[in-house]
Amino acid sequence: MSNRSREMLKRIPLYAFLILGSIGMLVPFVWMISSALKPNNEIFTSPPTFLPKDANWGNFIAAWNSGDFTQYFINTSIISVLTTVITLFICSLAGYTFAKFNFMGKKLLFLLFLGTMMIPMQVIMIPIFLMMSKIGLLNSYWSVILPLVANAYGVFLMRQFMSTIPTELMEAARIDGCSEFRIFWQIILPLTKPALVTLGILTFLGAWNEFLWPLIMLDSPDMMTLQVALTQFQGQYEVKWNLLMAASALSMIPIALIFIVFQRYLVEGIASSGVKG
Amino acid sequence: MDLVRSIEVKEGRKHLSAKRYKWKQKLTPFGFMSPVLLIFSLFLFFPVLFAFFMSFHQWGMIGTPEFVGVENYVRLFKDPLFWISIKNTLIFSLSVPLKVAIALFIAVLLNQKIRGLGFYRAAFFFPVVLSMVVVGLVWQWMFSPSYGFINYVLEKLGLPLQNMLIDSDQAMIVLIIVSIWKGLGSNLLLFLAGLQAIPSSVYEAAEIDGASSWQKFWHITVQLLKPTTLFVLIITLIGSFKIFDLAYVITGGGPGTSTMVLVHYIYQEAFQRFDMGYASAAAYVFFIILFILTLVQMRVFKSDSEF
Repeated sequence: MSNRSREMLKRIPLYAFLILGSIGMLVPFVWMISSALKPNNEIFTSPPTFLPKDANWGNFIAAWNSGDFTQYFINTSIISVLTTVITLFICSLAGYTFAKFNFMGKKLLFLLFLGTMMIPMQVIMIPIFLMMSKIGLLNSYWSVILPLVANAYGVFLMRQFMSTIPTELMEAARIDGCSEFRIFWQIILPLTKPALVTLGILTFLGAWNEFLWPLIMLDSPDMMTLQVALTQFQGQYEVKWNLLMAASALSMIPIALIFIVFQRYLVEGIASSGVKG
Repeated sequence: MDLVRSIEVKEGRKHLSAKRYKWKQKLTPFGFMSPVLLIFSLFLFFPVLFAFFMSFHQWGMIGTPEFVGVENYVRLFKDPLFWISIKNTLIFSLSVPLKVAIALFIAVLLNQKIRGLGFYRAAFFFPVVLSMVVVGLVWQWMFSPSYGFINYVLEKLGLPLQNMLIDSDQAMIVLIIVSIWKGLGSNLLLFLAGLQAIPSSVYEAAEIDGASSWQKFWHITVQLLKPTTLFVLIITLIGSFKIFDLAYVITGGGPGTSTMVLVHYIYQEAFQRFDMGYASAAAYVFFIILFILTLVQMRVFKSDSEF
């Protein structure tokens, strides 16, 4: 046997393990889709079937219509998009200021910001709930968006990226009489696209998947987000699992698309969160 | 004469604009910081202090708050359910070393010249981006006693069927299995980043000295990966203390109180019983536990960077 083929033989267990492991990781996902396609009588057969005898694509429509899912989808989209846009704006503004300006108390303020990463949301959720109820914002999109945009990790990420941009760019623009905000908006911001994309994706995913904030803040049915609506669906007397699985699958379509298109940014975002220490 | 004056005027203007420029330079950072400062103050700095203040009050949704000193804390430490929730959170956290070990193992396998790396990485990473609610629902259905996938497989293999979700000794095991599946991908990525930072020359030198693969793994990979491993261990531990969504969706804290975790306890006291002061006290105890863990993490990292 040649050296090469011996080398390949040695690798068979490795590949077998990795392929089986990867498939194993995907099984719950396959089970979800397969269950979503089963007709009512097949979902409750014991022992279960692995794949449905015929695919009931109508389940997706039935699931969507079993609640006001269009409204939940709109609610979740508004919250996620606004959270992302506002987070990107204020985090890049703060990151830029920390990276490129000197002002009194800068070091202390930066430490305070970093320190907030230690604060678990479970500690601040009670005061924020009371605040929101005092000012009448309970049951509004803002009651979920505002707590989510206070994101120290975002400020930190933007600061790290902004400090790699040469300061000469800003000085040249100043000599040309460019206003400070225009320097930020038209010169610096376009240069930070990779960081903005990474932070934007992480923020959007986090907001889309957020459960505890909307659970606390939004209690009227027309304000519910998808995540909360799914748990309501689950809490019904007799759960129609095929429809629940179909609704779950529909709720993750935007997430799956982002995963497919932006996987590289996601991977970098997660890996860099480790470097930050 | 005219010329001199006009020069003077120009100089003066220049002087003025330089002064204004300096002022503007000083004010710009504050202008830029103000929106983020406002948001951080309202939604982080103020609430974290206010929660502390509340924890010393009897504070319901209606009626006026009343100062009760450390009463809430005393009540908390006397409440058996609080201790049960701490115990359950700790039991759940016992799985952390296992989670880290699995992630390390798979990262080492993936960190070689292999075909299909993109596929394996995507498969292991995909659960990370899913919502806890969807993950919880799917797994609850997987573990369904009569109609679930797990029993489907057990039956095919001729093994006894499980009923783990309604067994108070085993429900926690389900939560651990699901959280391993959900969190594996992000730890894996952190380890891969750490592994890629190890220069290949170190391995080559060891090969010349005749080191076996096991020796290379143990003496090079594990040793050089220590900082990453510690980091992953601690963030996984912190994350596991924060478990709520999964338990809420899959077991709802049950059967009985067998999977009632600390955050669930805080949630229940605050938003189902509206005992806001008492819940704030519980939240502060939770905060202090996490704070200590974070300090340990920073300590560990400082000593590492010195080295």
